Parts: sequence; C-alpha cells; structure tokens
Amino acid sequence: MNVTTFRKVTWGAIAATLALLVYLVIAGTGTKSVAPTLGGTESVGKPLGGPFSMVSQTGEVVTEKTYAGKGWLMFVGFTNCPDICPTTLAEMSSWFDALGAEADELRGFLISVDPERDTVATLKQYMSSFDRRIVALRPEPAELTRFAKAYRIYYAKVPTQDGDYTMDHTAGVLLFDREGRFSGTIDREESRDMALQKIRRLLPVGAN
Amino acid sequence: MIKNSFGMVALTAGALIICLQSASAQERPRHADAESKLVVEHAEVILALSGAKMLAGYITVWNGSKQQSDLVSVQSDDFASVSLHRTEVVDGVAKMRPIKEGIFIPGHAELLMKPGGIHMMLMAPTVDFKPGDKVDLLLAFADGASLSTTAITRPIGTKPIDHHHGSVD
Repeated sequence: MNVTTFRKVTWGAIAATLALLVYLVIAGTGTKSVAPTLGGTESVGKPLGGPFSMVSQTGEVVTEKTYAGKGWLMFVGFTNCPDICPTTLAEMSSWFDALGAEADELRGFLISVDPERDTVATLKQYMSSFDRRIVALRPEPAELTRFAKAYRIYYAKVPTQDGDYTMDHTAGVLLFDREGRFSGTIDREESRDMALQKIRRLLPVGAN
Repeated sequence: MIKNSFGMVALTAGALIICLQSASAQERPRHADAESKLVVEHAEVILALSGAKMLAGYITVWNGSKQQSDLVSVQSDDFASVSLHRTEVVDGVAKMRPIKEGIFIPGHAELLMKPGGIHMMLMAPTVDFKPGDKVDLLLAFADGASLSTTAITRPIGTKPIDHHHGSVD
C-alpha cells in the first residue's frame, strides 16, 4: 500500500465513522424528542392535555388558547402549601431569570388544586413573590376535576389534626411545547442544569 | 525535663477532673453543652402570605456526640404550635404528613431539613413577621435534653439554604 492509498483509506474510515456518529446523534435526539408519555397510559389513546378554562390572579379568563404558541411549564399546588409549592415556584422563577428575555416565549402556571381557599385575591398576593411570567389559575371545582383527568394530575384533600386540611398533589412540573404537545416533566430531584436543558427544548430553534 | 513531663501529667489530670466535675454538676440538659456537640447550625423560617396560618421552617442539627439523639418536639412562643412534618414524593405525588415518632439523629450525623423532606410547620404566628426577624425555638429531645436556637425569617418564596454540617453561610 502506497502513501496515497493509505491516506485515502484513512480519510474514508474517518468519514464513515463521523457519518455513523452523526446518524447516531440524530437518531438519539429523534427518539428523545418523541413526547414521553406517562408509563402505561398510552393505551388510553388521548394525548395528555386539552382545553381548559380558569381565572387568573388578575381576574381574566384563561384558556388553552390564551397562551397558545408559547412553551408551558405547569405546576399544580395551593397557596396554603408552605413547603414544596413556594420552593418549586421560586425555582421556576429562577429558571425564567436564567433564560432572561428568551423566557418571554414561555409561560409558567400555578394551577390551584384548592379553589376552595385560593381566591383570585389570594392568588394575586401570592404571585407577587414570583416571576411575572408565571400565571396563577383558579379552576372552578368541576373544571378542576375535568382538568385533572385530561392532564393526568393527582390531587386529594387530606384532613389534618387541627380540623384543617392539606392537599396531596402531583409534585413535578409538566412541560408543553409551543404546539401544545406534552413534552415531559421536571421532577424535584432533577438538577438545575437538566431542568434548563429541558426548558430550552421548548424554545424556538436559534433562540438558544 | 522529667520534672516538666510530670508537671504536664499533673496539669492534664487536673483539667480532666475539672471536666468531670462540671459534667456532673449539670447533668441536665447535657445536650446543650458545647462538649457534647449537639448544635443547631442553621435555622430559617420562610414567610408566607400575610395572614397565613402556617409557615415552614428548616434547621440543620449536627450531632457531634457518639450517642444517637431523638428530636421529639420544637416549641416557639411566637406560634400557637410547631410540629415536625415530612413531605414525601410517592409516585410523583407530594404528600405532607406529621412525624409522630420523633426524628433519630445518629452520632456524628446531621439532621438536614429541606423542602420536599423533613421540615417544621409553624402554626398560627402571634407576631406579624418581617423578613430578617428572629424566631426563638426550643428543641426537645427524648432523653429530656433541650436546645435553644434562633431562626431568621426569610421573604416568601425564598429557597432555604441547603446547609450541611461545616458549611459557612
């Protein structure tokens, strides 16, 4: 084998390896970008999501159309939740902060699973502590039941010793892309970097 | 030289006796003594909406002794009651439940309270707190020992500091 042939063979091998790598990377991302459906629920057939109608902390009616075209970060909670809810909303605020103006293409939601105690006025006062791009929504009880089924979230009233009650509720943040398709969740255990990576995938290409 | 060593031994023995005496002089509360090294290293109370009936608080307790300590309750004059709670995320669902059995802190280990884990629930504040205010807390342990500490109040929506033993914050 002379030097020229050797070079050709070597470059050929390099090109083939690169092509394979590129293929693998694309195939890899392709698999990932398929919306991860919740385990075992695919057979239900209906995708997670759908229409809703709730009232925001400023008293406006908000439906799934109000913020169509933006990426959504959806969290369910209640204002009497002292531990996990304010911390998650503070974290969400910090994600918006980290993304700066890019995050204008996103909307965060706190959907109250305790409309009994969370009035519009309460939500307004509560949300003043968090990023302005996070909207609190109050569903009527019947709407909450319907929403929970369509978005596959869980909530339950749990009585406390003092005769009051607390709420069990889905802990993760649900993500929806700009076409309104469910694109995954951010769990509490996930790192900030991982969360930001997932959120950046909701942004228009070229914005990040 | 020999004389010096003898002096040292005598001094050490003397110091030891003083230690023993001071230990027996204050049998209770033993854990509050610096030498047993059960210390609250960090304490924060996160404020909620004004008029809120409950606030969450987070403390880090370092047990520098060899024995396990069992934290059974926390009290504060600024609240109607303080209870220990645990948030557990089970199958993606956050559930907050009171801790009735106390919290065991093994020797040379820390109790780190944090959101989504063990925390204090401070009910019905008697004071309208502002950020930076102080909250006096009294921790009670199963062996009768107690430990007092002061927590700082933080604004609503503050993520408590993840204070591990030895952290500077």
